[in-house]
Amino acid sequence: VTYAEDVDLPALDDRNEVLLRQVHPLLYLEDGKLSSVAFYPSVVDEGLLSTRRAHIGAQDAYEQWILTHESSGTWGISVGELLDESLESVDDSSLPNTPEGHASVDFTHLSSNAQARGPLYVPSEAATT
Amino acid sequence: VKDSLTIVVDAIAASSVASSTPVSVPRSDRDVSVITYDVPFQSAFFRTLAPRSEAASFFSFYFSRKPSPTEQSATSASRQEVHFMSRISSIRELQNGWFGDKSIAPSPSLISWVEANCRAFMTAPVSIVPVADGSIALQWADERNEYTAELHDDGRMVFLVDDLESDNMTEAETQLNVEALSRFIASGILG
Repeated sequence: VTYAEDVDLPALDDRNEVLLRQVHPLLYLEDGKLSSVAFYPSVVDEGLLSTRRAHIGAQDAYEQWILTHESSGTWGISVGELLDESLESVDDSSLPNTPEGHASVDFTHLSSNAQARGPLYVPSEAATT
Repeated sequence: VKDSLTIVVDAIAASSVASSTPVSVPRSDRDVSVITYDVPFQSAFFRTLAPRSEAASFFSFYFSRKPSPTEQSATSASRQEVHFMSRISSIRELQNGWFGDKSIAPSPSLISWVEANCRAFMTAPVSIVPVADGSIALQWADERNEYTAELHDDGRMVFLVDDLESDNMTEAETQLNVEALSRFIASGILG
């Protein structure tokens, strides 16, 4: 079951819409590039990457976020780019305690695909200890 | 270094031009200590020839020579050391909720482990990045792969290799230990 099915909300389908994501100042590598951590949900996110819809605006999204958190600025990823990676995004701002124009990118579905495909490589027990 | 030099040069220019008094430059700062020059000459130079902007250009050129391999290595090591200490200090200040309401700050014990055991790896281009689940990631890349070592407070260590061309990711999990981490950083090979 995808996140969209679970919450009974439609997945975003405008491939050109750029979703907005705040990046903490510590999520950069030493050479100045973004760390993958910035665009990948952790365990506590339950497989959902939190973003804002394009209509919020990059500056407003940033200014709203820094009222309670730190950010180095707003970065973006398009719905089309996500779909190319088999990642659906869902406007879930109608859910309780969710800000206006919030969209979650569903990484749980990607995990499901990977689960269905099975492991591609499993190192031996001896190699991992 | 350039910013530091500009500040130093501006200070010299201002005081030298105004008073003609020889100016000494402190040599204690690591970045500035490579500056050696004849102060009376520079005083005259500033006084008679150069406005401050030209003086800054002169110094930028003069001191932007390519460092020797030894200097380059030392500079790189110093930069990595500064990056390491700065990151450790910043990570230590994180509070729960730092990257979203559910995010967890790395624990003091995990930070101390990284500080005590990972400093030696900073001669390589390895970056330290906090993760929202409270772990700390060491990340680096080469032309083929991105490498991540996630260090968890519960004693787990997860190695990930992301093939940049195919986007396939492989991973291995083991217990937190310096030897395995060192091997992974040196070789990029899981296990």
